[in-house]
Amino acid sequence: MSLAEIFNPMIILGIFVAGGLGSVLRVLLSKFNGFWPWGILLANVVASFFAGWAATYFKADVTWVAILVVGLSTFSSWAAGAVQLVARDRPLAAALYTVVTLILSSTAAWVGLLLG
Amino acid sequence: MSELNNSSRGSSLIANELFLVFLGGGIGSLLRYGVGSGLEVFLGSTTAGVLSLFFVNVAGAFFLGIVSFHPFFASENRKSFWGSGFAGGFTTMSAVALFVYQQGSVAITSVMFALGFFAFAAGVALGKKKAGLNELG
Repeated sequence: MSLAEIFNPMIILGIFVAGGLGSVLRVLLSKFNGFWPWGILLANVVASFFAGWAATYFKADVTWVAILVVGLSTFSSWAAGAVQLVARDRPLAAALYTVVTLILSSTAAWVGLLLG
Repeated sequence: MSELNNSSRGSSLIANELFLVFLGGGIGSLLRYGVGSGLEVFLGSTTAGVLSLFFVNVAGAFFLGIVSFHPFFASENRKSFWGSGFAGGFTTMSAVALFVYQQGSVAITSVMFALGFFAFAAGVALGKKKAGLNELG
C-alpha cells in the first residue's frame, strides 16, 4: 500500500463512519448478555463472516475489508467477558466461551470466503 | 424542560452515549487502520499483519481493563467513548478469524488470546489500584 492510498480521504472517512456505526451496533448487541456474552459473540461471528465475504468479493483488497467490518467485531470485549467469567468463579465457562468464539468466528470467515 | 420529562431525558441520554460510542469507535478504527498501514509501509504486509493484530488487540484489551475501573473513566460518557467506542473499535476479532484461515496458525492465535486475557486483567488491576489510591487520599 502506498502512502497516497493510505491517506485517501474517502477511505479515511469510510473507516471512521463504518467503524463508528459498527461500534454502535456492537454496543446494542452487547445488551444480550447472560450465561455468556451472547451479543458480543454474535457481533464477532457476523463481522467475521462479512470480513471473509469481503476478502473474496473485493479480491483480498484489505482496505475494503477494513472499511466494511471495522468496529463491529471486537477483541477487547471478548477479553473483558472472559476475565469477568473467571472473576465470577466460572473459569470453565470462560474457556468454553473463548474456544467457541474462535471456532465460530473462524468458521464464519471461512464460509464468507467461500460465498464471496 | 428536560428535568420535567424524565422519559425523553432518558432516551436523549442513551442517544448521547451512542453518539459517543460512534465517535470513539470511528477514531479507534482509524487508529487501528493507522497502526496497520504504518507497520505495513515499514515491514511489508505479512509481518505487519500479524504484528499489528497482536498490538492492537493486546493493547486494546489492556486499555479496556483500565477504562473499566480507573476513576478517570467512571462516568458513563467516558466509558462509552473510551471503552465501548475507542477500545472496541481499535481491537478486532474478524481480522483474527480471517488470519486463522488465510495465513495463520492456531498457535499464534492462542498466544494472542492468552496475552489479551492477561492484558485486560492487568489493566483492571491498574485501574482498581488507582481507584483505591484516590479513595484514600
